[in-house]
Amino acid sequence: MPANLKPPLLGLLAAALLALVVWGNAAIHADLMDIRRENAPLPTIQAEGPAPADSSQVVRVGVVSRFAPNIIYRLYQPIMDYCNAHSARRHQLSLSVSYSDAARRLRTGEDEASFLGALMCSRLPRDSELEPVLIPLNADGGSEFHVALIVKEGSPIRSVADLAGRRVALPSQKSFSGMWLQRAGLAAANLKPSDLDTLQHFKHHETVVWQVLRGEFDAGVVKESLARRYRTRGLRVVTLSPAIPGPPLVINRRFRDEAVDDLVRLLLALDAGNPADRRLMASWTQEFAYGFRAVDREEFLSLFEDLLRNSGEAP
Amino acid sequence: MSLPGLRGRILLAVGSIIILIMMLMSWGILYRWRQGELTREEVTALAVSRAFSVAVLDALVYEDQGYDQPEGVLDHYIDLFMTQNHRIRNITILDPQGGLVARSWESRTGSLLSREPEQLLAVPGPRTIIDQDESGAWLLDAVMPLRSGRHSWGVVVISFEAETVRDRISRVFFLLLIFSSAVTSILLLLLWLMLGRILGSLLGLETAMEAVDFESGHVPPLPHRSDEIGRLYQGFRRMGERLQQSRRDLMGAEKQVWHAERLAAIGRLASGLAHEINNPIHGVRNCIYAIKADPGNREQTAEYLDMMEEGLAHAADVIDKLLGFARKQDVGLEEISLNNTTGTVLRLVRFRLERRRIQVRKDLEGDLPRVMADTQLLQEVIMNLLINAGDAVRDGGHITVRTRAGRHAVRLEIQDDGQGIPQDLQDQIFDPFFTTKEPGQGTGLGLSISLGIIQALGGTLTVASEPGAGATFTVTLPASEPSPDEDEA
Repeated sequence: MPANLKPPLLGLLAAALLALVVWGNAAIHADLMDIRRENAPLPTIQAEGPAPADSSQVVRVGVVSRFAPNIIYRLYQPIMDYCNAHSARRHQLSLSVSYSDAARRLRTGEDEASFLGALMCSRLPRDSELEPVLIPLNADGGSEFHVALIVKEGSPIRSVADLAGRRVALPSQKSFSGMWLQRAGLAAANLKPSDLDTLQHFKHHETVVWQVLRGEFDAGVVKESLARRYRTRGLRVVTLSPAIPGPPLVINRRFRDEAVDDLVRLLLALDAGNPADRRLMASWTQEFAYGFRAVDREEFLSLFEDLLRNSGEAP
Repeated sequence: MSLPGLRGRILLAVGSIIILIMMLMSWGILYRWRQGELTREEVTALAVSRAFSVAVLDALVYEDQGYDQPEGVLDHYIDLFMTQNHRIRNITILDPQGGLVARSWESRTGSLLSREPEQLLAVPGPRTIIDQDESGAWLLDAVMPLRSGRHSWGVVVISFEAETVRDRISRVFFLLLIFSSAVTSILLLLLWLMLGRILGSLLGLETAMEAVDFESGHVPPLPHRSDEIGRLYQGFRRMGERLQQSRRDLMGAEKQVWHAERLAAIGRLASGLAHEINNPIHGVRNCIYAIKADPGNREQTAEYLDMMEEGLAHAADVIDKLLGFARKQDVGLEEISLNNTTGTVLRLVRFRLERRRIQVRKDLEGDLPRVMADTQLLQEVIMNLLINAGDAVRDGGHITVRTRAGRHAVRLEIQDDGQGIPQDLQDQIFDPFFTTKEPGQGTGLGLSISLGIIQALGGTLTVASEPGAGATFTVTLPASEPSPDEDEA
């Protein structure tokens, strides 16, 4: 700044500074008010639409709608995506409201295959046209699964014997989880269902968990995998049931064709020891996160034999 | 120096920086806050859209699986959501082929729905877009794919009004503007006051500098301060003390130089005096030889004795005057006669001048007022001027010594008819050690010392000269008593 700066020039500079401040703030205000933006650009590619609706190429795989449909799809649709990615056929889920409904769809040929409950499958007549072909593997590579007696963290219940006079929530009575406590667990502790205050069945396993967490029931029985998932949210596992096979993939022997064989082949090809397959299956329902192995009716029933005998239910 | 200008300049410069910093800070904060607000709006819109899409997806799955559902279930969902969330302006559900599945009855739609349906259906995940609709209203569009794995049921597009967030941004902008303006104003006011205080201190220092008495060395008192201004004050005081000391040292050095110059003048005189003293001595010796050669000639002896007495008396007189001049005496002012002092000096240099047949014309005014001066110093001045005049004229030249009285001063003029002094040298001849003489012939201090002496006596020493027409040195001294009958010269 020149030393001989005179007051009039100072005034001009001050006025210029003021004008700059006003102009700058006006420009900034205008820019701030223009909130136009996209958090990510929209893709310009053509959408990947579904495969053409060709019924001869559709393989329908049944799932019992134990959860809300969007959850079922989130857990099972990736399995269909895997099959679609490795097959010329289009595999799609077929939701059933119950195990009975799923079995009916298999018998009528509406569905080519279906994931049924292990208990229900064990009760199929020996001459039934429905037969299990795959059972899921657990983390150890075995095919045994458990159900768990759960309580809320801090509960005084330490064993099945402590359930006397308590309110107990169970899943569907047509599932092994819903049956085990009544048929085997209570008896082993010298209790009868009438010794409990309440024994109520719910449609979904999650419902049982929420009832226990909310304190509306003192204890509940769910799949072990679900009990582990909620362990960090205030659940405690009291005891586990004897081992049973996981939910098998069941087909109708009468309608078995190349499409069904292709589905079985694709699922058997999954290897939990393969990192790529392991990553793929990580997003699936936890029951199928470690792949499958083949099974036939005789082996499947033999896995259930002891348990059913102990529970008073002949195989 | 214009202090208000300096204050204004500093205020303008520092104020500009403060304003710039405040503006940049405010704008930075605003943009960052706006980013957060818009992100929050987008997150909220996506959360609402996701919640809505769950219900829609279930309904579409049931429909896809062939289950019976209440008639118009999606319309009910849309109505419920729009009733519960007043910021929703439009909800549209498209099937995987881009066909309309359901939509709200509000006609206002965001920019998203103006895109090709294929673009919306290809969106891999939730997206938001903030833009203006055709009427200029700001809307936040959220697109939520209805997808599970690779199975698609279409997309949901929900438009939320975005004017609220713009109003919020504008409000915060003006609040921040007011706040930053207030802070800036306070800072500038404090700066103005601080500058006034600092510059006031400098003005005090300037006043003190003006009031310094260089004769007595007195420095006016300044307030005690412990800050930088106080250090400046202390520096000024020390400078005053050093100035006094320098002045004392200078005066001492000048006295020594004056004495040295007087001795040098004596040296110059000695060469002339040697001749004056030797002449009578040689005469006395010749007289003695003559008396010894003819002791019986009483008449001759008496004549030679008279000549010897006269010669010795002359020599003694010269020596007495020389001793009187060379002896260093205490300096003291006294009323003296300028004419008498001039006559004394003329007698001292007479031998030197007469040797070169230089004629001295005395034009001394009678009844001259006396002056207050130191006799020795004034003699030295006159002798310097006369010797310089003698050196300036050729052999046989003329020197005029003139005294005049004025109303309050007396004047002594020493005029020669030498070569004169060139115009360009007239300003330098009073400088110390300036000389036009040959090396060894002069110290160059005579005129400088003379000027110092005359100024110390309250007078002036000037020169007037035309090349080839000689030079006139004029000494003017204040008269100790007013002249009764003469006008100022």
